[in-house]
Amino acid sequence: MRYRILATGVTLGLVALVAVQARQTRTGDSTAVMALTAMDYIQIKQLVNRYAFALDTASRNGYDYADLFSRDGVFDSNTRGRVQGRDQLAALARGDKKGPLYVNHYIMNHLIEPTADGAVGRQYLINISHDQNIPSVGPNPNQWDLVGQKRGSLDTVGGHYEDVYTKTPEGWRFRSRRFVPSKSGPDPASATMLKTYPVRPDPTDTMPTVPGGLSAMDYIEIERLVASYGHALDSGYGTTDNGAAYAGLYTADATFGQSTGYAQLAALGREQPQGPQYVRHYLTNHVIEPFAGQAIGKQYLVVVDMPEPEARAKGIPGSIFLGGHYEDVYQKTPDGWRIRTRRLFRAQAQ
Amino acid sequence: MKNPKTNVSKAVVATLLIGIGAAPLVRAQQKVTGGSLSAADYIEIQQLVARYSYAVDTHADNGYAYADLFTTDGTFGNTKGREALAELARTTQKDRGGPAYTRHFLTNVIIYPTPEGARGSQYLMALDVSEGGKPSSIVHGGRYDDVYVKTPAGWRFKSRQLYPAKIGVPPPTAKLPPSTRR
Repeated sequence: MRYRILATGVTLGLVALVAVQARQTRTGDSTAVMALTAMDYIQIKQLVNRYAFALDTASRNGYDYADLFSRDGVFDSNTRGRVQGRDQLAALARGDKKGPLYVNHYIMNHLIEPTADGAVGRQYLINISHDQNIPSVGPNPNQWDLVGQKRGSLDTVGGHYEDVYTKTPEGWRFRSRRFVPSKSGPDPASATMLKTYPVRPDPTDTMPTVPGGLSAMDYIEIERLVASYGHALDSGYGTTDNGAAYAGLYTADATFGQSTGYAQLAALGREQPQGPQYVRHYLTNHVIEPFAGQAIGKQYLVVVDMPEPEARAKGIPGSIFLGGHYEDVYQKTPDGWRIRTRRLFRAQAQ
Repeated sequence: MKNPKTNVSKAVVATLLIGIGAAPLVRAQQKVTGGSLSAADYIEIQQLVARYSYAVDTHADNGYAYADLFTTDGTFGNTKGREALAELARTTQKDRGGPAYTRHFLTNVIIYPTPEGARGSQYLMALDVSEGGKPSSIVHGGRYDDVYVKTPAGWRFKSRQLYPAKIGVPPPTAKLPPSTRR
């Protein structure tokens, strides 16, 4: 009897193993990779989202930036060369120091591939400079009248990062990070895509690992709440009232800037230029932290006035209208996560 | 093929023209009834969306890396099927792809469960990123609306549609500057 149970167990195990290998063969190499959980992906994304804040503000004298790297971590780029060591990395960040309200590095398209001893990843980078002296628009300007004002520009720096991540006792860190400037070329054959693997299910997907912490689903829902911000404001989610869609992202007693409560927030939303196909508010680098049983977060904003199809056909480019960062408090309600308070800090160099 | 504009496939142009008239067709964000996604599902779909930019910009695997992000009957706009999608990827920014080419910047990624799988949207910022010191520029932008399905090989795009940025009708008191309509 015991043998039969054992044999059944072994058989089931083999079947499961074969199934896993079959799937890996389809998606990537069958060599053993470290299966990552949703929380691993989230923490690696959070590491990258902290990068821009740490570099642009040089907070803690550059050591917030340095401490994103493992002890032997390396940053490498065409302009800076190879930088290794905590003090050297902190000095690199200080060299870029533009003050606590400076925003410049907009990072998107984060791809992650598990490896045998950690993970590798890539993202796109575009650097955007926001004008310091913005022409006065007078009190209560009609927001529609301001569309198209140019108040910033793309830098000549853009391209992608190539990273190696390692999981340390303190969390995920960069073992190496390399910036590669964008380059168009006739050599598509040499492009290799990162591989995909199934994400490993884990109890922490829905349950925080520490009391007062956030589960993977909490992070995912807060990410989506903030990612919805532009959609709600600019197009109303396909509804005809962007004010209601916008105010619906907040708790009933929430505050954004000078506006408090549903009615004021809805009115604020309705003042903004909008349309079913309108896109204007681009948010990225979203940092999320558990805080006193709820959550806080911050992210970069760039408001872009895109050329419409007719203008694009004439080769007219889009323009940068506004940039800065938001700082938020999120609250979990019976209907899901909502914004409790939000403040916009316009980009400023020190 | 000397004028980059002609590189855009006719299918894409057709898609854009259709998109302009058909604004809020289906929006992922509206109240969804039924369906649920695990944390792993959300992450896998996020990764699918991130792969899109690399596949289209690098032209990896001669466009098939792009095509294989879709189901076998998957559509981007009016382009349907593996061969047509690979061709689309190869001819988008023809002669400009490559392993380090970055053009399609996506953010505001939202994903919602549906009874059949999932839907989602993102914002696109298509940039001409500086090469050799030339200024970078914003070429165009818009919103992708997607339908995803989970296949035995993982999550795939069942359909993907780009709606180019287009401002709505201003209230009577506002006077839109000529710069936006151009």
